[in-house]
Amino acid sequence: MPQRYKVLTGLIAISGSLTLIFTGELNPVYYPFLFLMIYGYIRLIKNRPQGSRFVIGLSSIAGLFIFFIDVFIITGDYLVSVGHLSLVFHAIKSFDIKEPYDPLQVYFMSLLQLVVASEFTTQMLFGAIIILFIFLFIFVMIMAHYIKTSLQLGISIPLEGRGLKNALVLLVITTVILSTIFFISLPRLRYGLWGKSHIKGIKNAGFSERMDLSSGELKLDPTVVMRVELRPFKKGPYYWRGMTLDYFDGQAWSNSFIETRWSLKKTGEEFLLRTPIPEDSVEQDILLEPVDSDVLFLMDRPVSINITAHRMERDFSDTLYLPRKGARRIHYVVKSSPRLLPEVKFHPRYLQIPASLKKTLQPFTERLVSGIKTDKEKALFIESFLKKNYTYSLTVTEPPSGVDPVSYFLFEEKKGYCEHYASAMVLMLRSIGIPARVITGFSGGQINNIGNYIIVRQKDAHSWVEALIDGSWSRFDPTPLVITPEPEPPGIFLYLDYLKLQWQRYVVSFSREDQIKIVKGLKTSTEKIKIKIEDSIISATRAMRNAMGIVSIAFLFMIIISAVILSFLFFKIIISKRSSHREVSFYYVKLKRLLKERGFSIGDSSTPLDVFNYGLRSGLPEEELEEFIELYLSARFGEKKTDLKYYKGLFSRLKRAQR
Amino acid sequence: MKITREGFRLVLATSLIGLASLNTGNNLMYLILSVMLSIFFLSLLITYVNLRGIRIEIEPSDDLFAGKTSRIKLRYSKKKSFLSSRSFSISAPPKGPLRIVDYVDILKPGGSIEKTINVTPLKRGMLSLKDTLILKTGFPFIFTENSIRQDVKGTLLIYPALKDIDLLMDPFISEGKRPFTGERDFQKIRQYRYGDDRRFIHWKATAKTGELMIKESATEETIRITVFFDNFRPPQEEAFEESISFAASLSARFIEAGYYVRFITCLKTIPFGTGMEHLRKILDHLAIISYADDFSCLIDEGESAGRSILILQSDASPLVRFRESSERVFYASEI
Repeated sequence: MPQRYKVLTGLIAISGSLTLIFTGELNPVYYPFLFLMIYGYIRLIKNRPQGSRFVIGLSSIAGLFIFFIDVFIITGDYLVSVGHLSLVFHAIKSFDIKEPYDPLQVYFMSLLQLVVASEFTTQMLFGAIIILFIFLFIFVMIMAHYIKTSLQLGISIPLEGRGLKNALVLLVITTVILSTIFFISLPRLRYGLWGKSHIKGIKNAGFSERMDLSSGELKLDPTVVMRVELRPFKKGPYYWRGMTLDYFDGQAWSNSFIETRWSLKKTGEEFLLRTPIPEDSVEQDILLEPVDSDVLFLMDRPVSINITAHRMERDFSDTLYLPRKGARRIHYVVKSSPRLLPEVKFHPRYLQIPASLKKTLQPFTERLVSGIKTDKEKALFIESFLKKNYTYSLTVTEPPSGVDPVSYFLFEEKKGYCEHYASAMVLMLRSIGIPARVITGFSGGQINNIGNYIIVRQKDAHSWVEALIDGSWSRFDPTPLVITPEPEPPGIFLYLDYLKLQWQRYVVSFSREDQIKIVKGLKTSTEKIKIKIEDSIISATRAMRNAMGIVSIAFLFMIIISAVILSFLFFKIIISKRSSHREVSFYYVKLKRLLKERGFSIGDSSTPLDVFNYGLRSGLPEEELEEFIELYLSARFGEKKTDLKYYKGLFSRLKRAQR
Repeated sequence: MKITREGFRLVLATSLIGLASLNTGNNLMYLILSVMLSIFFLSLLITYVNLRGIRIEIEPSDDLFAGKTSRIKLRYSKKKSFLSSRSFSISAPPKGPLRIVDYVDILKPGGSIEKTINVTPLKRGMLSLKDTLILKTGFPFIFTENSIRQDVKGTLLIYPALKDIDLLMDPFISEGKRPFTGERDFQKIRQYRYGDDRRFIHWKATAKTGELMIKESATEETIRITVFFDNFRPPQEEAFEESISFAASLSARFIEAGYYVRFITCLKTIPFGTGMEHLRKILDHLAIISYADDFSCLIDEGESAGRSILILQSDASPLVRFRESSERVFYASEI
């Protein structure tokens, strides 16, 4: 086996195993097998003896035994166990590559590792590995072809200096293009059949069915939760509404309407919430990472949602839910109309306040808003009061036992984060009889100018307030605007994030709907072109008819067709012959000139025989020179076609010989 | 077009990945599936296209003998196209009349390659090259193979196998070895026959008679030999082939020893002659000779004059009548 073949085999094995390890799903106990495998391939490359059949067989049986223990007792997950097994087998195989066909098993094992890894990760790194795998696989398969051919024919075919680079590059590019075509056109089901995804969602995404005002950790997490493209693009502030919380038990908030969920009806590809869809609606193309929640995030006042889901639910408080928690990335397009008034559904729970709290909060709030007449002014005053008199902090001390966190925030600690501010305001409003609720979700986000989209991270998790004032739910955000000195990420990160978005959007989240869109797009473009051509023909014909009349048009068409046929014949019969003869003469004259430069007295009157004789005297090879002159004569005077490429080659050889 | 064992493994793996992709709806799995499909599709396509437009011309460099490896000149050319043909081989079908293997690394569009390679014909005869050669390639990978019968124009004449017959014939042959010294024992003037040495044409007699006449010497008779070959239907076909090979070997050996050899069958007479060209005439005849079920042998009784060797298929042959006049008689079944 050639060294390069062994090295490439090792690289394929290592790339497959590393992909699997990078997913972070494997037990680190199995990592040493990677090093063992690398050692095995180093031995192979150094032509050290391979493992004995007995040891290899015994190790394989042991590996299988461990696999069964792993799958049934330790992990209980067949996919993870298969990943472990592939590492073990790769390591064993690295000591057992004797025949030129053995590496095939390695390639298929690496392929299996990629398949397993694809269930664990959706990182863009996977795409890079696929490209690397295509390159290595094609390279090694070309080498395998030569090895197989030399074995079959019993001849030695050296692999070096074969000019394979061009073939390799061409094959890789063609494979990438073909793979893209296959990827786009392979049939997909709208939903998977059975089994669950192994991709783990983002934990603690800043919202839940409960908000217990306990920790500020989330604010520091830069993990991307979603990426949003706005059409048309609008400047912030952005509020990505998630869950509505209405019930406070003294310690935490919860959504008491969660049981009132009902299914929404799907119309075509969309779930329509309001009809008709206003023309000024803002379209949000959202790619939501797998989060530990079934709530959808979107701008306020949605009117339609286009999502690859067979079912969606909504509750009394306008929270929107998927049928299950997002195990995969979810891509959906929401249309929201900011000018649309939300449906007002009052419920006494929006005035709920624990009795003990009401005792302290009511006089406090009434004192605060005394003299203010309207509910709206009261709410704005409370919002402003909280913003100005309380300090934003992620580190809060826990309230003493028996003290509720809102009273502790308002009267003792006087510092907190968004949840404290929102809770305090809602309860203050309720204490003076204004219906209010807490909304959790995300606020803001980083605008990536490369691609014009908004990156929303865990640290953007936020809570704000909605109050029912003058028959409409209005948003209030009592949390002071905290400008944390955050360094602007370097441009490369923005580029990378843009690539990630494209990767997630067009590869990881590519769906049947996208396929339909592409087909429809193609159909529309074809129809547009067809219509344009038809229009041009019709208008041209009309113009001609007006100018010339039908008989003249027919006559003109006949002339055009005849001209096309005549040109074709002229080209085929005359030009092609002439060009061949001209080209041949061109090289003949070139040879004459070369000989003249060497000092031979060649002029316009020199015959081909003179040229032949001078050529011989100048040391040109007789056979090739004779062929060159004969071909010239037969092309020039015999009107025979000459293979120009061959003739040019002949001339080049003569030219080289003369040097 | 054929899918190899490795190709079937790839198809199996791809099918399994396909099922898994459909089941999970995992796009990354679809991506792997797309790559595998592309590689297989490319393999099929390139393997198919790789052999398109190749032309082969064959020209023997040496005489070709059955069972003997000889040199042959091959010219590969490719019609103008965009793609080169890479890594392909030619071979003959396993049960075909030739053993030939050659490998071409690259054949550029519009280009040509000339090679001289070994070839071993397995049996004598006029070998039509149409569909005799198989072009085969698996390029670029090892998943598919394409082989096509190559339509090569022309024919090859394969002479019968030449065998070592020295042990059998040496004493007999050595008797005839009388090198020509220049002194000729003049015996008579007779009509010129094909194969006679032109240096001994008797010009005076020729002028008188108007026909080519030649001086014949006494010593010349001793270095002339006639080989009678019987091609009447043999009882065993294998023995017939052996007898042809024996007749060819005999003629070659005699000519090598300096004899003037005449070769006679009921169908054709090759007059006395010597040298390689003469041997080729005999071999040409033997290369294509076939047995006849029934024929009336037109050999004149007078042809039996002089030294002769008779190769018989059986006693049923009309050539049996020369048995008495021949110095040695060989039966095909005994060769």
